[in-house]
Amino acid sequence: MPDQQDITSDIALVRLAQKGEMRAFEELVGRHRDKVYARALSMMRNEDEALDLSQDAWVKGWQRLGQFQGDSSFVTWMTRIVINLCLDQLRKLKRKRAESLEAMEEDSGGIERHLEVVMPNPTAGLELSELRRRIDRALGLLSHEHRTVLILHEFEQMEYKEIARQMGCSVGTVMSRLFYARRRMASLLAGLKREKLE
Amino acid sequence: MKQDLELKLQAWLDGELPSAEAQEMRLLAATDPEARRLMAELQGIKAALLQHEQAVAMPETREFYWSKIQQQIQRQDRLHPPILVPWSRHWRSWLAPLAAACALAAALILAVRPSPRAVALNQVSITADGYEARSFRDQSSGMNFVFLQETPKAAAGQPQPARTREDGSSFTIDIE
Repeated sequence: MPDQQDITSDIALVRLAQKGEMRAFEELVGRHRDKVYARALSMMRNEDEALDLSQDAWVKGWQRLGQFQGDSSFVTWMTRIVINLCLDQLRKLKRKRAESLEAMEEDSGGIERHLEVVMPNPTAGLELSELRRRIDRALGLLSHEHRTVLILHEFEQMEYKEIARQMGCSVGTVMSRLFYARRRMASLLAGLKREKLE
Repeated sequence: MKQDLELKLQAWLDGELPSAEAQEMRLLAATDPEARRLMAELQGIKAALLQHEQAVAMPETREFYWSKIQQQIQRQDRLHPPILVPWSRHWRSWLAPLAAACALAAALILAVRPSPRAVALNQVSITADGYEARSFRDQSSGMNFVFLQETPKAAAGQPQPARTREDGSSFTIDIE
């Protein structure tokens, strides 16, 4: 027989947590901590930062529980919070360092514009574990703007307009970033030799 | 291929293109080998990324992770205590109209009772923050009409004592 706690729905736990029940919130953290952490890790590419930011996201989630109306699932709501924290952190990091060559290229079309189309399916024939390893490595080589737009579109299923709002840019910029991110991923996954632009 | 066409092809692939333009892209993909190759590449990447989304296990135990969150919440609560709705607000929600109704009733009794001043009041109104009670006496039929309605709340400020105004036939009490 399943534990009563296991079969309690997220929404019931949220309602209890909204009344100040810390135990209910603890259960929500236990259920969704991996997903929230995974999103932070995919955006930050750093375990420690991902842990800190995911932790901050849960604290913020607790403080803003009163605003949760149930328009989306609780885990989607929490994921949006951690994405916003990661975007803020990435903006801070970007301000600290000089503009990267990659980011400058973005405005002029980038090197990906001149890449040949590699193959109909650059991932064909790869085993799943190898594919995941390569994708992970390739994502890590993208600029954070390109990586973020890919994550928000492909993993979070956001529309262009929503991504533009989250990232504070135009829909045109989102389309452009997404296109070049995909092209670069294709070239990286196909194993094409490319000069690293540091 | 021109950049705007490439972006349009991508938008078509993502289902973000209006139907008229989608038809244009469908035609392009069917007739232009370069467009077809680009579409295949974009589709391949999209599919690969979808497969890549995998569960990542957190490197900390549930208990340790939660204890850090709990500590942070408690620290935040000490620094910025949660804003609780004060009891006085609950009281005010029904106390104000009640007080207004009592005051109105008292004013009505005074108004209809013969007094040495013999002032015939036709209208009595009481305003409080967010409420207004108004009575009207029809002298010909000898009937009293009472209206109670919500009004926009005044800006927060220092409480002021009740004010009364009287101008012959009407009597007003302002409670702020």
